Amino acid sequence: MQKVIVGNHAVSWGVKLARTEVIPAYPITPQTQIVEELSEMCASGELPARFIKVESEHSAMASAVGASAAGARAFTATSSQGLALMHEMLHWAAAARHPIVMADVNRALGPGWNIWTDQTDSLSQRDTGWLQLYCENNQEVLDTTIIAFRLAEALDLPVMLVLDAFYLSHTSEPVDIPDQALVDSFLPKREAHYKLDINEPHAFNALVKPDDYMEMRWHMHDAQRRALELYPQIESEWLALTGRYYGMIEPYRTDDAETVLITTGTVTSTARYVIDERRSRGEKVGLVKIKMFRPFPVEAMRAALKGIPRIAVIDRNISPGNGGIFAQELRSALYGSDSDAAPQFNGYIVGLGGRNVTPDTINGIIDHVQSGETVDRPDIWVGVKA
Amino acid sequence: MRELRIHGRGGQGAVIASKVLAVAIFKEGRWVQSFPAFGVERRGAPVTAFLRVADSPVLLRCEVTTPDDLIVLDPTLLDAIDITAGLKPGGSILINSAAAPEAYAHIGPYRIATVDASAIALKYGLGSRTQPIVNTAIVGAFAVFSGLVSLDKVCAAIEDEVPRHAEENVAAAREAAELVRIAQEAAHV
Amino acid sequence: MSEQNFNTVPLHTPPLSVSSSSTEQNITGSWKYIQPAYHDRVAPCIAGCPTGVDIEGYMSLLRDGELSAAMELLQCENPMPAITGRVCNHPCESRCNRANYDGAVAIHAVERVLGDMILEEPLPHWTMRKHDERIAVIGSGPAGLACAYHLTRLGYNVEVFEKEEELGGMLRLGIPGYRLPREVLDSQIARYKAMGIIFHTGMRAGTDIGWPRLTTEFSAVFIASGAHVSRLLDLEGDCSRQSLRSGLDFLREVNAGGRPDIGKHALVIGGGNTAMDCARTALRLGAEVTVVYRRTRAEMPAIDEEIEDAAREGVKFEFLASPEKLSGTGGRLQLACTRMELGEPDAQGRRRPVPAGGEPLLLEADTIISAIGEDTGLHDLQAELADAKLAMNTWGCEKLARVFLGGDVAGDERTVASALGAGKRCAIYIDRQLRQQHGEDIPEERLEAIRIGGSESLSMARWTNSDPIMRVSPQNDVVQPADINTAYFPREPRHNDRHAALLKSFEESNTGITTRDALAEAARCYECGVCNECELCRIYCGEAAIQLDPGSGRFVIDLDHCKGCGVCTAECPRGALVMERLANMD
Repeated sequence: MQKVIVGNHAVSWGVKLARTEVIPAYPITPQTQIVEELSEMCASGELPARFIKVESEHSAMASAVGASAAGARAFTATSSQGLALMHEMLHWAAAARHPIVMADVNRALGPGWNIWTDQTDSLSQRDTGWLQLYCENNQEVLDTTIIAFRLAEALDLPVMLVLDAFYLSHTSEPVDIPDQALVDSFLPKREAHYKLDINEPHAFNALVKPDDYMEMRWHMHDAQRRALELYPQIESEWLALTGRYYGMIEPYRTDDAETVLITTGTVTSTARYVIDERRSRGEKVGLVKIKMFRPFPVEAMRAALKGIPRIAVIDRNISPGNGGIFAQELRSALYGSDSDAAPQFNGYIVGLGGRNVTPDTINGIIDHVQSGETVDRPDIWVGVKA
Repeated sequence: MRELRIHGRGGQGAVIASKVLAVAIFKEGRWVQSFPAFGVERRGAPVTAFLRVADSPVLLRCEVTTPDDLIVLDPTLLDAIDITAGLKPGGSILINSAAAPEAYAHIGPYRIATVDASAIALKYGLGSRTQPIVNTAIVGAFAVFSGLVSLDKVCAAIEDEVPRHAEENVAAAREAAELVRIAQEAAHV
Repeated sequence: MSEQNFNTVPLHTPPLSVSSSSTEQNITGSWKYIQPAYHDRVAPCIAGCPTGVDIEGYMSLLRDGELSAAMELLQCENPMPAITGRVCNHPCESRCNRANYDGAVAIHAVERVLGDMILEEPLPHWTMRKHDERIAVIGSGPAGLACAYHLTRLGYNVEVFEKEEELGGMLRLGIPGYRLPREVLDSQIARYKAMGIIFHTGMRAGTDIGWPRLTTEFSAVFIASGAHVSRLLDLEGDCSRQSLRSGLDFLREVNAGGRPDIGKHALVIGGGNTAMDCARTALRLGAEVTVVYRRTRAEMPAIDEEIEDAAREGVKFEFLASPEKLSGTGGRLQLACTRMELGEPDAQGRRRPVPAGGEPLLLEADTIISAIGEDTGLHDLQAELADAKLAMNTWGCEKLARVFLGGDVAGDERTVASALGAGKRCAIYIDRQLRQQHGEDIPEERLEAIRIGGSESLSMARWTNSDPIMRVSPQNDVVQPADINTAYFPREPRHNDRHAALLKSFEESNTGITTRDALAEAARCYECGVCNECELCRIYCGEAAIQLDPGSGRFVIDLDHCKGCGVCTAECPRGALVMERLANMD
């Protein structure tokens, strides 16, 4: 069934099709239509889940942890300041190994108060132990929601699904909504590996001394790394069922490219438009889209960028004092991989706080990196007004 | 690819108008993308919404800056903001107005049409006298004026997207399609 | 530094902090020194009800929609709820734990709604007549009727002897029709007749039927002859005048249909229910009425609502005035009263009135009604019984265990509720005596076990083992307001719109509350002290040590794992759970 829906509702549909059992959510700003639609689905009985209205995002995540601990499939959604308020519980969810799925609508953090898109909210949760998957269009949003549950439950780690505010969250476009039976065959009911059970009680999350703490973190890190193998397998199954495949990263027209853009989220789409245009004029340009930020697909990126002389990373985020976060991650991933031919590597900061990123913006970046004016730093700000 | 920009005021239904057109055009098998200019909406403030139509998935993920078509839900906006900013030469403008389209010839070298969507909305009890909800009437007129989509598909999309008073909204769209007045020739071209 | 290939390391440590074995092996219950127990304590309303009505029990059944079970439970303890629902002084409501929160549950009004429903229903098929013994009841007031009712339901053959021509005793002679319509009384008595109770009217015990005959023909005699002798007002002056009336005689005359001319102004002396009945009756005969009372409003023994209604209808009050002297000329009476003030409390805790000095208060009237109390005529009765060689002990029973005394005549509190309680008490006592004569061993402790909340009130349901409210271990410990967790009870004003009309007619003045309001009141009931499976203890128990036992339908505590934290008792909304000290800790 195809429907013209906004990105927020694409998440809601994914959550419904995943037969999610518990949805704790804070209902006020910066909450989105994701939860509004889900609360209506719960109220109408269309989705037989327990919807828990809580007093803060911290409580939303705490409740999701509780639900997951009881063996339920749990989901919540938030944005910007709400995600920041969850921070402590994000660590808890991951270290207690709860396969919770959360949608984060990428919104800028205040002040200045801003409700528009910006990736700094999700990227600043980098070290919480959550997997992070960034989406480019509403179809990918829906598919990734379902895939995220499968991945999370296989690894016993939480997954954050990330979508741009407004450019996806409030944009209507056609989305193919898969049949329930198809989703059921892909995503069976959760079988919790550890859960609270009155008939088989265990103590959880008690004091762990230095003797064991390090090993537990090793396990977590290992599970993150296993995702690098597992994720393509899960997506291949989804491909067989739906004909759609995204990949941890997606190289686009990079075969003989001399200049490659690194993009995430909706900037990727606009960049594809620009690449197509410049390719039609015979320019050797391409892009690599990063979908998976955690675990960071180091080997895949090294392979995709091998021999590329010029790399321009486009970051819609900022780590003040250093630069774009994707640029930093990629630079450290590439270090030493091809020491004979270190590429020119520029990082560009664009579109913070929802500023429009147009084909002109992207053309300007390509022109800049191609000009040979080697800046080689991760913090070239594009379009900052004088 | 064809790009449309809709100007209105909060409460007139500009965002729903773009969604209705998107659904209608999608029903005809084309690819669409509709979204509002994102802001902190309030009743009466200028509101903008966008629509892109293409034969393949729409890649551009930014606001429409060089539209092919404009819809103006409130004629007072013509004096308030630079409504034709970026409008391509020869582009079209559909204005909610009781005046004849020729009255707006001074705007520039565009195809211009008018329809009294406010009167039609009031006739069908849509909105209030001070705040008629004109979106469904205007999309009916747009179907005829633009030739981009059939009136029947627009009416089917209204039934999908505007379930409250669907019958009255469809009637308003059909009436506006009959009453829309198109300037005889593109002025000054 | 040694290199380690992480991918092949088999780690013993689990991926998260989780115990390697079941925590059931951890007998956390061994830590505790106190532990919770479901006590199912006594609600204060029941403890405060002289009749011994299981109020919390029927409210609980009503809340659960078990209307017929609620009616059955009410009738098990109270032989005349339609009557008590109108005339009872309802001490239950002043004891109610909700009283100081948002107003007591309107128990009195709910009882009337249920009582009226019962009168509409056919008589239930109670099992009766399993014993051969005949029992005589002297007096058909509330105590006599109660004893006859309970004994009949216990299976005895009961005959009631009434000296008046009509049945009901004080219910008929003393209580005005605007408070207790005669149709209600008549249909209640008709049910007793339908139950098989035999009534003899116009038969005075001791004269029309002699004591020797009563004690030989009947296995037991219950004397509930009431208190019918108006106490005399001790006044200076001529007290023999036609216009100085005894309150009881006045009520008796009007209640029998008489409409005496009492002039334009009437004074009623006294502060009890008889005084209020006299004042409101005099008002209905067209007089302006002033009540003269020695103490203040706070010390008046009459039912609060009766005082309020009297005031609303226009009765005036002269407090702190003690009548001393009666005089008068030309049909007009003058009453001189000494001004009083309140001194030290007396034995009952009421502050004693003492002369305040100053000028006396002079009141004029056409009629003066004295309603300062009634006597039993007990001296006469005792003399009669002594002549018949019968002597009573403190249990209201003579040594041959044949004659029992109860109600006003026995010195019980002079209320309908107490009379009903006395009737029940003697019925149970008689039942025990007679069954013991048949060789059954019913120890004294059995009587103690049916005592409610350590009070004089007794539970017939417990006596007959027919309590429909499942209680784990009924304790005689009464629930206090501090035992209630009011966080679970949103404040809600009580539904007690009695539609009291200012009719000043002999029609019933209080129309009662609606059925819907009665159900709303049942929902307000805290259900003090009795587990109603609300589940909060189970939900809050951090050890998951409380589970529902599917067999009994009750919650059970896994004491091996209960740490004695007490959160269950703290959360219990109704004080049904209490913490007990472990015996071995003492």
